[in-house]
Amino acid sequence: MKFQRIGRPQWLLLVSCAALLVVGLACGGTTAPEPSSAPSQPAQSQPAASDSSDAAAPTPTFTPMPTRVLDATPTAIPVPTPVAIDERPDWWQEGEGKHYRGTFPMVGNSNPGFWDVHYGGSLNTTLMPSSPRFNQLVEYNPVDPSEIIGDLASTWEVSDDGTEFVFHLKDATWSDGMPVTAEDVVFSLDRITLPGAQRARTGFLRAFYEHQTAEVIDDKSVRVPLKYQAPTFMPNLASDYMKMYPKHIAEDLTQEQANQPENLIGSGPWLLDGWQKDVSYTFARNETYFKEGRPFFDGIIVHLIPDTARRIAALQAGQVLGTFNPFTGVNRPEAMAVLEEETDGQVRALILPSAGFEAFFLNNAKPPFDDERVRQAFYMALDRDLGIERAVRGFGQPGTFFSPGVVEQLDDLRANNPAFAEDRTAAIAEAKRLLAEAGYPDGISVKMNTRNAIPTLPAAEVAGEQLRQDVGIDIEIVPNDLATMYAVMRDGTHEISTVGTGIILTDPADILNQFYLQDVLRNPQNWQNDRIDELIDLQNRAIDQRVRQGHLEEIADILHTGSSHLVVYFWGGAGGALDYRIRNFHLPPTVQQIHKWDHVWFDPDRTQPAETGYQP
Amino acid sequence: MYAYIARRGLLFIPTILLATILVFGLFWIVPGDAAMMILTGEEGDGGKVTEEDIKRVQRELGLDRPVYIQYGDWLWKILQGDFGDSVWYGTPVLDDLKDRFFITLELAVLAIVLAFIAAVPLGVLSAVKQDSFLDHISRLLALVGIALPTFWLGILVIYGLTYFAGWLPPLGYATLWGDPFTNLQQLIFPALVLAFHDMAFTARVARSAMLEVMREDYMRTARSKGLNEWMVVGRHALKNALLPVITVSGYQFGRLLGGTIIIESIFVIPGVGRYLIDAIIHRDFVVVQGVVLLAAAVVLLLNLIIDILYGILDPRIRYS
Repeated sequence: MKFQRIGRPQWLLLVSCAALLVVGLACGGTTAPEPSSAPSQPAQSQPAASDSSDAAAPTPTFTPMPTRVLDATPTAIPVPTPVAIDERPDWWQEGEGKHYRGTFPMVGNSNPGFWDVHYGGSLNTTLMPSSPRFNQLVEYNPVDPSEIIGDLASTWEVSDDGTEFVFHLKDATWSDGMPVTAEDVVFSLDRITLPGAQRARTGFLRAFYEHQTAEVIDDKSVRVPLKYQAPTFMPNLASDYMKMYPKHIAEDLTQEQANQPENLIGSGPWLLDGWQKDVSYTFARNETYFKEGRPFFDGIIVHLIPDTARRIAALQAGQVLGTFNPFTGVNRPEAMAVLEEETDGQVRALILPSAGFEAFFLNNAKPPFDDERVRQAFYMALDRDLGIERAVRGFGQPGTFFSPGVVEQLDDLRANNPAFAEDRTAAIAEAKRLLAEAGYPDGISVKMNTRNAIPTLPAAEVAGEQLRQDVGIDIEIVPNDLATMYAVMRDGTHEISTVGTGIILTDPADILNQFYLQDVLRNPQNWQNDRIDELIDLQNRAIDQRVRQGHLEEIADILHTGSSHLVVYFWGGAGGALDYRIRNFHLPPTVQQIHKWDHVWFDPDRTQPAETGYQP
Repeated sequence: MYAYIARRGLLFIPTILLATILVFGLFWIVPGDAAMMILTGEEGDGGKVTEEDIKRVQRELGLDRPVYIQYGDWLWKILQGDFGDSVWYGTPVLDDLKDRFFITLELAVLAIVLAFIAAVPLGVLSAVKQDSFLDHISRLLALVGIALPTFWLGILVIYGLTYFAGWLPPLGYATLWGDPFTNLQQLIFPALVLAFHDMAFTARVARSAMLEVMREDYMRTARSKGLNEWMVVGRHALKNALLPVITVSGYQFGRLLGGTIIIESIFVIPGVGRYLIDAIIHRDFVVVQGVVLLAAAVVLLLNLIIDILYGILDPRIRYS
């Protein structure tokens, strides 16, 4: 009987009104944030020392003290004589003066995955959530990332032959109060280089350091012998992945336990405060951090928003202060530039121009690309400028094999290599000649195994259309998810594969390690060249940078014959955004560097810089 | 009736088994594996990976065993209430599912209630005022609702709120019991987006069912007894026209409970849909199997409930 009431029109009207009321309540009764005001959480806090009654004016939270001078080495390569630097430069004092009693709301896109940075290799799921909790022995200077400075190490000496380092440690403590000792450093180096263990990013250290050869000299000094004199040892050691772990905690953990968030502790500026899967993770300031006064705010909350449109909307509506880490492949530079315009400069675009590249992997073990001439034709015919224009709206640079400007100079390539010339006539004629010589006068038909993500897929589409029109290379694109893309590439059934990749270091060794060694992920069919192998070894050992540069240039010359398995399409940028009131963030050379967030501060009183883009 | 319910209950088992076999089979057929994803990282930039590494991780995950053994092992554990641990996060799937299912349930209930209470009056009015201006508007609305993909509408809503109101639903997730007002703010817009699509479809069904019923002889009889038109429509027509509407709503509710993947991503709702898409991206087959099992069970259960409701709404329906 009760059901009969449902049919009455009065009831229908009543429930409709109720529904409207619910919607109205949800939409109406809330306080919309001021578009130009501070983000919600920091805005509720006092931006100054607790004894100040003036909430608007930040007050220094420390008493200025005489500057201490420590012996550290701000250089990208190890040199025998340490150079003194000021450990508490002006920016440090300014940051302390602006200490913000609030939490930075930031936006990320992925849940954390593996929390052990020695094990995991992912920027978004390992490095970003883990890096703020730990320190390295040495680090890239956050305000001048071209330098390497001490992190846990205060000073270091290098033997005359360059094969032995002695590091001296600062007085730092783990978050459980135990001191950081030389034992911890030795343990960490040996854990990083543990034979047979997965070490996605840190495994490169095995090339320089022989497992279990480091020695404790005393509580605060450690001797690290190298296999050979290696100019790339320090740049690798300064990587954000090379974290030091506490021996008394980490030695008892299984790999599975180390990958869980709650088991490891660090000495870093931040303590993990919580993680709600698919919602957010939060950090609280480490009050006992050995870099006194840092970090310059009380906490960070990283909201996890996988959808790009929603992420941008959060930035636009002032729900978050910026992207955390500023640079990942998911934040497109072009979108960030538009965001800056649409927020009238409140949100500033951070664009890292050469964060990684889009490249084609030609299967050198299977026709038609087992013929060197076909690979050369592909290399020659590819219009890199068109790819940049159409796939990434101009945010890119033509595909050199090494980071732009490091080994190859674009002007030289434009002038001397038809593949890079703006006039495409010679390159196309040469590509056609090579194809005809290889027995394909009418072109070839191939399938391209492509990652179905931006900008890889649009890049593949642009290249496919251009190559078909210009030289008759007819490409059928087969989009795949990442795991499938790699599986197809690895099992050797592909003809061409394409995927974007980021770089860890701008140092050329990073490219050589990833793409030109044998049995590595990105050389799936083991393309090999005797001279390149020889040069890789020589450049690893060259202590004179000019000699090393010569070796690298020779490698580049060989690669620019187009004979290898790899054709780089273009270097693309990674984007990010920060509120203009966040100070002191400096553009790192790669997306993988400067992830501790212990050097930036929030300045609510800052006037908007006139220049576009983020200004430190 | 009870015998019917028991029979339908027994049918659960082979149907769910079939669903799990299909999911298991699909993961076996498609290339790519969890080991590769674990080794290369989410962005595929995890550095050097050797065949040995891949085999080692596959062995750790139990992926080196024959598929039927993997499947049998999983099924046996399910029967013991163990859904396994996520291969990506290492956390128990059942614990995650419990939390997320109630979030998705809340969203689904809100969406289906909004859709139902908007669709039924719309469909009824459209049928009663057939070919009127109101009918045309109602049909147009229904057409737009069906044609417009929910993910697109979701993005438009986010854009509209940002651009015109400078406001967005709060970030973070507030539980219904902990902070009902924030919870409502967070869920109402995704619910409206989902409801718009479901409303459109349900309204069309309601309209056509009403039109059919209103041509029945008993409607003429009711009018000839002197009942006013709203009484005729409300008491005699609507009750009979509601059967197909309930069927459709039940189906829609089941679909929503299976996870509203895109909408949950756009509106940052940590429900079953986000859990599933995250698992698919990471090749986390243990999670995918758990979610599919849950979705299959929910759909079957809802179908059973709808069948039982049929009997209550229309006593002429008997179960043999």
